[in-house]
Formats: sequence, structure tokens, C-alpha cells
Amino acid sequence: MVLILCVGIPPAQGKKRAEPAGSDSARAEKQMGMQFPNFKEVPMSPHPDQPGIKVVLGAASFKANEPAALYGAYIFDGAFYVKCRGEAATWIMVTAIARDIQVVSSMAVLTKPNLAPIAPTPPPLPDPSFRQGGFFNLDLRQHLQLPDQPSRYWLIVSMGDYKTDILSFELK
Amino acid sequence: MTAIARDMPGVWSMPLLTKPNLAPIPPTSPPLPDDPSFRHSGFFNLDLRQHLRLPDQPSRYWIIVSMGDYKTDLLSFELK
Repeated sequence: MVLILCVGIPPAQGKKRAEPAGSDSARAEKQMGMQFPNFKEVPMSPHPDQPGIKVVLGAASFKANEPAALYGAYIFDGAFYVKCRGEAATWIMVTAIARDIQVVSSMAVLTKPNLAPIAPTPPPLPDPSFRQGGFFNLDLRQHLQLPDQPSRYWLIVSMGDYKTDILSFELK
Repeated sequence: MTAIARDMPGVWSMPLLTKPNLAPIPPTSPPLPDDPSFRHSGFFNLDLRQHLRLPDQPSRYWIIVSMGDYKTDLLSFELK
């Protein structure tokens, strides 16, 4: 089976401001089992030091019925802010390419079906020092609706001109 | 093959060839070919725009082509 996906299903939650790393709520989340997806900074969150996108897998291999956790963070500049109309999470594409079965699955981190139409003239660029960012935490199995059969996957996450390296994970 | 757009949000993916009526996979794998030098190969030539049904609007893309454990590097192309 081959999945061809361009548009995703909207996750339940919207973007939320980050909480301080190592906060009580973040630690409690880790201890109690995190609910996916969410858009908070958590202890496992990566921290890009310049515009770009970084992700960390919760493990290299995930047991059956265990969430395949992906922790991500992004920072973008004014040019990308204009390009994505301030909706960066809707531009973050998570793509998994199976190695042991014929499946490719891709989904935006967040979809918003009712975004306003693109204005005929782009808004002015913000200050060159403009930076904005956020976090996302997903269960890859659930978010990408990966099939319930064992396979190894390659994973790439992109946001406009920014992309991660190609990572590997396995679903048992 | 999988194309990831850089100037709009979207990913397009399609196998090189689909065969809807392939026989079911047998429960046991066939034996490995005896000869360790066994190699098999082929060629393919595509119009990416048509094959992946890419949208009719300008964008730059990354593309990766994979076959099981084999994959290409990420390449770049642009549709004007």
C-alpha cells in the first residue's frame, strides 16, 4: 500500500507559548505520559540556535502500542514569517518513508483549513532581527497514520527552506 | 519518489509503478539467489510534474527517491 498525502487532519490543539524547560508541568508530563500532539516546550525539546528546524526522536526503535514520539522546535526569520503568514506550524511537513513496506506518509504538523486568502501584496518584512519560534511534539504512528506492521522508516521534517537531516526510526 | 515543496506547504509522493493486481506476498520469503554476485537493475524516466501531479504554481522542491533500504540524496529542482 502506498499512501499519498498532501493535506493533514487538524490536530485538536493550537500553537501555545512555550513553558520554561524543566518546569514542574513538563516534568509531570514526562512522568505521567505525554498527550500527543502538543505544542509545548518539554524536557526533550531540541533548541535551534538559529533559524531552522530541529527534531529529536524519543527512541530509535518503538515497541508496538508505544507512542513513536517526535520532539521538535523551530525558529524562523521575518522573510519566512511573511511567506507563511505567521502560520509556521502549517508549513512544517513531517514525512516518513518506509524501508520494509511500500509506504510514504506525510502530514503537516498543524492544519488550519480556514486560513484567510493570501493578500495580493505581501506585508512588509519585519525587522531583520525578527525571530519567532515554537515547539511541537507528535506521536509519529498516530500523526502519520502509519500502518500497524513492523517497518523501519526514514524521516525528514521540513519548513520552507529549512529541513532536518534524514533520520531513522523503527516501529516494531 | 517524494517531492517536498519549499515555497508552499506540501509533499507529493508516488511509486514509480503501481500494479494493483500483484499476487499476495507468500507467507515465506523466497530463497536468496544462490549466486552472491546476483544483481538486477532497470531504468526509469519521468516527468515529475505529471507523475507526482505537482500543482501548477511556481515552487522549489526537494526530491528523494527510495527503494527499500536504498535512497538517493536530497536533490533540488524548481518549477517556474
